Amino acid sequence: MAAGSKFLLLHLPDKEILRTIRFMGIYQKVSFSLISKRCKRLIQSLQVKAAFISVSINNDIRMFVALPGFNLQIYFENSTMRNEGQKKILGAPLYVSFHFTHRLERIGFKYSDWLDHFQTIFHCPSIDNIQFYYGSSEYDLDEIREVFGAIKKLYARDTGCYANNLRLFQKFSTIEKLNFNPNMFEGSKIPLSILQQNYDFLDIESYNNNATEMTLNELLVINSNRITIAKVRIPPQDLNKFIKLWIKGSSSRMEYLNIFRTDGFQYDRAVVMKGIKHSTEQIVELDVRRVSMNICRMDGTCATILFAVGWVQMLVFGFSLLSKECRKLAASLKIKSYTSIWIDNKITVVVRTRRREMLLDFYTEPNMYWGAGGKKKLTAPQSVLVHFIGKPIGNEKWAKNDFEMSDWLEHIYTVFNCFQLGSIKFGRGSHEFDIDDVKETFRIKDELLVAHTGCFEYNQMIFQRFQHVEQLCIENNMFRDSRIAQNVLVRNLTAINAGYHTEEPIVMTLNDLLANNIKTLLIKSVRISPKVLNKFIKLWMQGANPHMEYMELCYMDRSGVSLQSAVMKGIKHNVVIRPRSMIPFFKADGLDDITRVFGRIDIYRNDGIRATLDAGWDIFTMAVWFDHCVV
Amino acid sequence: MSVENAPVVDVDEAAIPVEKKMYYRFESNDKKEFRVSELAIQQSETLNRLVEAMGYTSEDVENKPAIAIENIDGKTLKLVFQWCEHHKGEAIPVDDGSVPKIVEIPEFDAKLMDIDNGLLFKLIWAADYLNIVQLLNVSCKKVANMAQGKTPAQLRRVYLLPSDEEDEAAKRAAQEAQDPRAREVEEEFEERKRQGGNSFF
Repeated sequence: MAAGSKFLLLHLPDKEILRTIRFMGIYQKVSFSLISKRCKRLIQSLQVKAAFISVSINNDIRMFVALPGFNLQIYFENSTMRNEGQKKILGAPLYVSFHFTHRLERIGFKYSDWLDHFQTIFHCPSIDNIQFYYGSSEYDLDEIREVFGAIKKLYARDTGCYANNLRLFQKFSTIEKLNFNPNMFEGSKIPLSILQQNYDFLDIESYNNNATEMTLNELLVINSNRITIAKVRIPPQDLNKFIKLWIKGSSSRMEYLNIFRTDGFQYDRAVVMKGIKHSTEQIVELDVRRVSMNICRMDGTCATILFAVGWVQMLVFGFSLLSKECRKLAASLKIKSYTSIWIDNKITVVVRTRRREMLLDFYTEPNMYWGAGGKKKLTAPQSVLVHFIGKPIGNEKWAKNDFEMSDWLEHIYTVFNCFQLGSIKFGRGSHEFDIDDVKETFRIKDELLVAHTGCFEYNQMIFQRFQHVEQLCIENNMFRDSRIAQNVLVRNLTAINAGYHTEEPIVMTLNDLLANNIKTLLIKSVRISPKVLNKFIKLWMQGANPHMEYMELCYMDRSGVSLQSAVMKGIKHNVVIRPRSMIPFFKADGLDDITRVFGRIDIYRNDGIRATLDAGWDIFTMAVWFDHCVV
Repeated sequence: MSVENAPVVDVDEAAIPVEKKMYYRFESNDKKEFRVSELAIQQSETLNRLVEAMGYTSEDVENKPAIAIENIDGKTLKLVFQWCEHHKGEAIPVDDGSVPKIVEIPEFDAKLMDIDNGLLFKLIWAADYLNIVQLLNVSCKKVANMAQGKTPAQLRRVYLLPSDEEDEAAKRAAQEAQDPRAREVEEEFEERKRQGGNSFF
């Protein structure tokens, strides 16, 4: 084909134009959309939809576009123009870059044009949130507001000027969600006018536990629906009065209040609940550090209060079990979560939200659930033990035995807006459970994590029953001979992630490497000789393992010297030295995120596909540059 | 009866009727003729339906005129049929309008498409007309690959993409071509304006 020749793309049939641009990478799609209105409409018609777009402002302006499985970062290098008041003017940015590596160009495009462009092509009509940080006081807030339009959430930090900080709240007074740091105000005193506003979500986050104090008056003027107050001192007497006044009808909008500190401070329950009528009928107290209480307002509205180290009041889950209405209310909070299952000699549902990780333990009662085959059956659990990770909160036990395991899952999915299990992890002791019951109850497609269950046969049964998972995470000791079973390697998996650095290494032979049919293979502790790697690379260059996209092996036979010469012996390769800013990005099926390829050795397969290798003294990586792996 | 005890019968292999492979004949718009196997034709939804509807026997194929494909030239059709023969019997992807997750261009296809862009353009049109989904996937993928690492300005040059102004001008020209009177009216209007007339009517 003649080099540099042109192709009349837009003269193809419409269907084939769209087919072609669908094949382009995201950077090419964005670049293409900038060429003309027609190109923009074509990209728009691909229906690539962003979950949200956010804007962050400090000395410069960045835009984040959350696409499915991929976050786009657009960086605007500001022009240095200033108006009479010495504020930066949002004219056309000097340049715009994509992940700091690729330039985007559109002559004459101002900020508002860029924003409008991204909102249009990614079908995201409004900005989800705007974040102000130190240095952002250089901008004219009126202009910022005009350019970025209606915002749902304001994330405010010290901009470098108290007066400007206050103006932020005036200019963005119509937002639904507010997150601010009290230390941004003079003397860390929050203006009452801000607390009086009605936000759906109000998050007050101090830098440290002793910098800010809030009084009863300040609590009472809060007029928002869901409130989180973090690392702020609130005297227990004020809390007591606040609850009493809530019972009498104040703070009637409040649906959820979460007050927490991270310094191990514990409220004296006797002081906080002094003179307050409460019941604990729904609660079984297990841990003296944590107590849950139900209180009732004069109009019949109920609330659950949880005391822990610090104080967390959470009206979400336990509350949601009280009635269908409570469940609806909890679901309406729209808390998004990622749910996974851990199985050892009990079954734990792990609910991970943005703020915390909650563990729900099922089948904890000994000598129950055992079926005829000597395995535990997943009949209705008698109780649930609830605890949290990373938060100084004790345990709680809910005695609710009219829910089957599937009912619990459905309830958790509803309340936490999660519709699919992310992963199942089988740990030691999990062989006690009937594998068919487990498979039937927890339908999983994405990721299976398997440690040695204590029974090698059971380990194998797990692989047999869960044939359709895409990714596998395994521990080294789960196979009898420290080798990954061939029947696992030959499966058409997206990824295997094996072992930990500290474990006994997995032995990989040339046959194991050649037999694997996996796109991404990560082994944290492997025993493999440089000769085997050398032969494998040679065979790959001749066409072996055609689907492999990425391999990372941390080998244990560390010689203290680089194995590069042994691994690359007799292999034609180029050593490419790239400046740091030119180190390429890479993505592969099975890798959680985009990664950078630091290797310097380029080799080529006989069909022209390139791979970049890194063969250091303790790690070997191989990134194959298929078109879809290029970022 | 066990297998060991079954009677042995000598079979005259020549007497077994062998199903003859059927080859259809097609003719391009520049009168070049091609013989294409029945299995290869299955890659093209359009041709497959056509030959099914015709219901040709082996004799018909030989005796009747070649099936004319009037809007594809011989050079392009040759590439299309080479591709179909090479990929005959392979599964045909469902074309639901979504981009296939991964499309790699096999070595054979890469060599076949090592052609100038004009011919590649015709190949895509032909594959579109004949509805050969996988050929469309690989050929469009090849065109998409031309965009790799290109800035918008470079993309504009590679794909000869018109600017908004050029699009507007082309649109106006198309409208005028559709209605020749429009141009005359416009010229008359301009002339009257030059003469100082206030009203066109």
